[in-house]
Amino acid sequence: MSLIEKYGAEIESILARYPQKRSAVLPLLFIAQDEYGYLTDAAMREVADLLDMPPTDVFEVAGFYSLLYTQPVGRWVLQVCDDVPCAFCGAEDLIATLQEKLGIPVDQTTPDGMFTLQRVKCLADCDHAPVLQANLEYYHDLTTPEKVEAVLAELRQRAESGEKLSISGRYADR
Amino acid sequence: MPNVTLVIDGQTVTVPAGTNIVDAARIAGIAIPVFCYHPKLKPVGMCRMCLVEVWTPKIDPATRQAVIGEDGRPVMTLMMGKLQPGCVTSVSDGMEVRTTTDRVRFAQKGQLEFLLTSHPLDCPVCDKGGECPLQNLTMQFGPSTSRFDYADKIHFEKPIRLGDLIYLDRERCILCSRCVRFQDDIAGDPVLGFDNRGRTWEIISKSDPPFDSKFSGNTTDICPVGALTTADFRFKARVWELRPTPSICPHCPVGCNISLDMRYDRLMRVMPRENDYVNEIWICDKGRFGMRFIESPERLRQPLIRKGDTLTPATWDEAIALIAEKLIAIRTHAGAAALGGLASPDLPNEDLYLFQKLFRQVLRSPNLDFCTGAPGEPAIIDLGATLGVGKGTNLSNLGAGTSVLVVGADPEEEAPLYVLRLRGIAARGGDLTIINPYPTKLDRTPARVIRPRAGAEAFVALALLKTLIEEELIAADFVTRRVQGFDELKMRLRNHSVASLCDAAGAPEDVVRSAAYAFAKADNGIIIYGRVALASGADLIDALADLALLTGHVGRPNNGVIPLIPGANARGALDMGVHPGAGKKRGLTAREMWAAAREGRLRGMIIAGMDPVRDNPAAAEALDALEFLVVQDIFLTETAQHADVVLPTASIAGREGTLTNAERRVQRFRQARIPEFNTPAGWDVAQRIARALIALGVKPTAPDGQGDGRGASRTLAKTAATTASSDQWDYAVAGDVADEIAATVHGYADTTYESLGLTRKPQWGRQPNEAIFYDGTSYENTEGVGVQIAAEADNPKATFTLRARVPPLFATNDAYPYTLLAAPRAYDGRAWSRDSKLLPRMVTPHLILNADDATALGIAPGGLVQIASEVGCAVLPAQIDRNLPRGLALMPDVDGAPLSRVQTGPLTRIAIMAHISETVGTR
Amino acid sequence: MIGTIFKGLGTTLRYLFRKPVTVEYPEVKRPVRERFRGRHQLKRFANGMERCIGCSLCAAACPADAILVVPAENDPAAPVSPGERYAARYEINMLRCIFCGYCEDACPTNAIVLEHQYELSFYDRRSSILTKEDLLVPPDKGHGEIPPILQQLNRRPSPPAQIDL
Repeated sequence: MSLIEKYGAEIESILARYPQKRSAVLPLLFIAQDEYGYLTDAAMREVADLLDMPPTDVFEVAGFYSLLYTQPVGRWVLQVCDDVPCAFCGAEDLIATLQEKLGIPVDQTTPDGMFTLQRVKCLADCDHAPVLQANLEYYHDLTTPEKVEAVLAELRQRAESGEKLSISGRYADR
Repeated sequence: MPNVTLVIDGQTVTVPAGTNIVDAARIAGIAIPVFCYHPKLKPVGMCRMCLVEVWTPKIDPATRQAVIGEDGRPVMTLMMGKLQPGCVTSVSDGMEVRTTTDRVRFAQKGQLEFLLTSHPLDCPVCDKGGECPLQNLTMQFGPSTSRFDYADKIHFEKPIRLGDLIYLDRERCILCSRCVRFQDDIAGDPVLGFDNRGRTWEIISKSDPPFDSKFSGNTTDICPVGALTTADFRFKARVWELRPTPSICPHCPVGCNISLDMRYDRLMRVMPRENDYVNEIWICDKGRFGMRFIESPERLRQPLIRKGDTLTPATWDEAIALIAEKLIAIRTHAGAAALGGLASPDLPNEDLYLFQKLFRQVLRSPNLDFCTGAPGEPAIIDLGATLGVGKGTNLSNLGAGTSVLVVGADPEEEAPLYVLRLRGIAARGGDLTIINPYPTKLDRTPARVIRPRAGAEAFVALALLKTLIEEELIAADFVTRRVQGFDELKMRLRNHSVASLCDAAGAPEDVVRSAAYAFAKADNGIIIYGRVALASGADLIDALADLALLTGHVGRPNNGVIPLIPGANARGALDMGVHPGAGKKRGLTAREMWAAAREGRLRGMIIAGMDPVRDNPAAAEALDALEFLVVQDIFLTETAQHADVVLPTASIAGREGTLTNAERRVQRFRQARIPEFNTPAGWDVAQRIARALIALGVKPTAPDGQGDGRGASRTLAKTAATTASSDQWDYAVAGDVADEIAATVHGYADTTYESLGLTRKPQWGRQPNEAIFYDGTSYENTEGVGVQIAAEADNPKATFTLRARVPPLFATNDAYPYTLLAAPRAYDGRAWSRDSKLLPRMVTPHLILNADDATALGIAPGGLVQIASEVGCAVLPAQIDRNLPRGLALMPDVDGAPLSRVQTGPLTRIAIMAHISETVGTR
Repeated sequence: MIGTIFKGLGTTLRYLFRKPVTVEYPEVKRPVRERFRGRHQLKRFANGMERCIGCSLCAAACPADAILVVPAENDPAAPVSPGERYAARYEINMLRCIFCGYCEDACPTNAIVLEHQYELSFYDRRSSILTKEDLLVPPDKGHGEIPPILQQLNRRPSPPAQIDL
């Protein structure tokens, strides 16, 4: 099912927000990667077609932004800040814990397709360092492995409960 | 624009305001090194190579006056306290630019060292080596050593294909974005982009097919490194080994100036040659990659004579003797009118002139044409000779104040370079109106688009005329002096309103009115019409002529009409008189010749460089009915297979000559190599036949007015006296023919090889040979920019009559509800495409349908459709275009398209149905 | 008079017992100096790949225009030389060659070397043109490793930078 068939109303409301169609490329790419799991070639061409844009321009945008995934990712994209304040508060330990609990190195996805682990720069939540961002939702002060365990369990439970997840963070509290 | 005076490295320079520092420095003869900046592109300041010290007078914030120091001179401050990129900094009064200080040198060295950290340094194997700005600037400004470790260089897999034609070597790329900007801004095909960021930044192309642009080859020219290379020239030779020969592209009416870069008589590559009047520094891919046919192994090598069913090799003497004998025999028993000649509109002027001279003066037959006579071929209605653009026209200077009407033309396919020229005019503030029944790529240009019903284009032109009359937008002074029949025109349009005319055309009235305003009010007005306009017929073309006349947009430089008549030298064919109406006695047209041949009235033909059987298989039957057929070509074409004698000729690389382009610019091309297989030029073939005929006792007549029928009275007496004798046929070189053309053909007086060879001042850029500095490659035009011959309207005394009339509506037919139009295609897969890298891009026969029509007919994209007209039917695959108007079907005019089977005329009524293939059904 | 004759014969006699300056060419060959410039050879790398990458710099440097190089693209599956380019044709016209050695200087890969072979004679002009087959050393006579700058073909891309952006 194509994007316009499945998300017609949402796409219409997004397009209505902009005087030029091509301005809607980011929100449409978010929808596309939620729908297809990541930005496939076909998905980007579909968005280009929806917006009457040259496909090359859409690929440019997708290649530029780090929150647009052109490689397959898990249902939860876990991003850990390893910038200075977080590093002081134990970001490296957090990453080590996550790697151990998930059994994957950074930039990989768990075999069950649930989690992808990434290192990122500042997430603008330094007062609660170290910070983990899961699909653009914050999880603060993850200083002990138990807390990490609890978060992972919660995320797993939410995914398995059938909750709608968005790797683009479309349902994240903003 | 006001001028600005500034000081660059101690030199005082005055330049127009708004000039950037790099250009200003070039005017002063100072080279500021650049990579991303290119004078033809908008500056972006990406490469940081042009960093210079910019000092401006210190302004006292209180008084807004320059602060004067103790020495009585303004106190200077360094702009922003740091180096500025020269390409994006505009000059200002009192500015001082320093380009050679230690600080600048340090920045240049650092920048080059930095660029070279990710450059692979494979210059010995790089095709750009030897004409590479990065090499040149590194030698001039760069450090000789690097502090970076060679092993730390970034490496990519190399090379990757951006498309069929262009390879990308990502290691070599310095990310200057020249190619991306060329495609976006100049070519209007935004098919290149940047992917990722930082160290993995790279050029991508995601169009379908990748790098789908007709101008892609130009990106390799402007690439300042060897990142983009053409599949055509990859590892063929080193650039310093090449011998560039000035030539003219033989593929379309633009007449782009090209260089054939030869090495030991082999064509290595085709490069553009600058000519601001024609192609600036660009050429299209058809010209660049479509020249491999000259070295095709399938070329004809020697004359062939029919013996029974086979064509057997013969000597030139045998072939010419046989031709002379047979032609004389036919002339004796059936009269001169039983002989006819067809010459291709791609042949040079010299060939066409002697071809018609052979017919008119030696064989005394007026049956000459440059058309193929296919049923759908439109009649050639030419406004170029009368109302053509004025002498001195230069589209590359036009911008604001110019209005261009593009009527019934698809420049992208018919004359690709005009897309760049028209986009340039629009980008500089010119006004563009496109009137075409179906969408073309030119529609992407900011323009007014009027989409009339197919066949009803004339009503748009009439609506424009009516608006001019109603709103009194007429150039009254011009009309009273030089135009007749204005009152009659008003009478003819009396019963029609703009609204009713627009309604008849199916065009929005407000857009038509605004187009009329823009065109009438513009300082310069140009009308370009093409294949679809010709298909629409005389009513449209007459109305366009009246439009130019009533607005006074004729007879001046940058004003007039540009007809895009198919063929590289159709203009020359018309001027030389290779058409039935040129002489005193009217001859047969191509179509009439086929009928005459079938009826036995036409017995012998010479066909030069043309393949009518390919477009019109029905012509084969007519050719077989002939007693004697001579075909002169470079390949054994389908037509040649029906010939009694086949004569091989030299290609454009093996001879010299002149071509006349759509703007009536006569341009000379040089011989690039010894003729392939020692084949003679076409004019020499005509001469050999004429000599043989004269030797057998044929008495040539005096010329009966060559050229466009008006004759050349000035020189007529002289040539008449000399042509009567047989020794007039003693042309040793093409220049002899050109001299005679200059002496006899109307308007060509100034087109001898001497005057064609005159170059003008540096054409673009600020210094001679600017291209070497910016692109590393020289496009220098050393062979002359050609001579534009005058149109009739250029004569201030010439007067014209208005002819426009309201035609009847194009009849609809319920049995055949769709309109079929042949759409020209540049990549038509014909003889020129042999051995070309463009072969994968050749268009295969198909039918283009509107999406709704296709749905209604139950046709899927790629599915087979059956089309039927009153004369025949055909089956071919369908392509769906959601932007095509309903009721219109386009069939690209390409090799193998079954146009002649269904067409009843340029516009054909057809029925369409989904084709149920029996094989598919049983599967 | 007679004395003069004997003086002359004496000189002859003296030289009869000296070591001769001439050698009995072609049976005996005089060794040449190490930097002697004789007939060219096209060298190979130790792995047997041709050193010549078809860059034509030797032809550009040649003051006698004696060298012809026609380059072509390597088939990545079976490369003739390291890198993308190789010399499909390599010819030296020995009648034109002046043995200046500029080609050696120009060569970026030390592929063309003027060796010590100086016996160059031909029965016709055409055979004075030495082709690539004549010039190339046997595949097992290569020397040296391929320098990193030439290892471009089939090389895996660099790993992405270890900094995220």
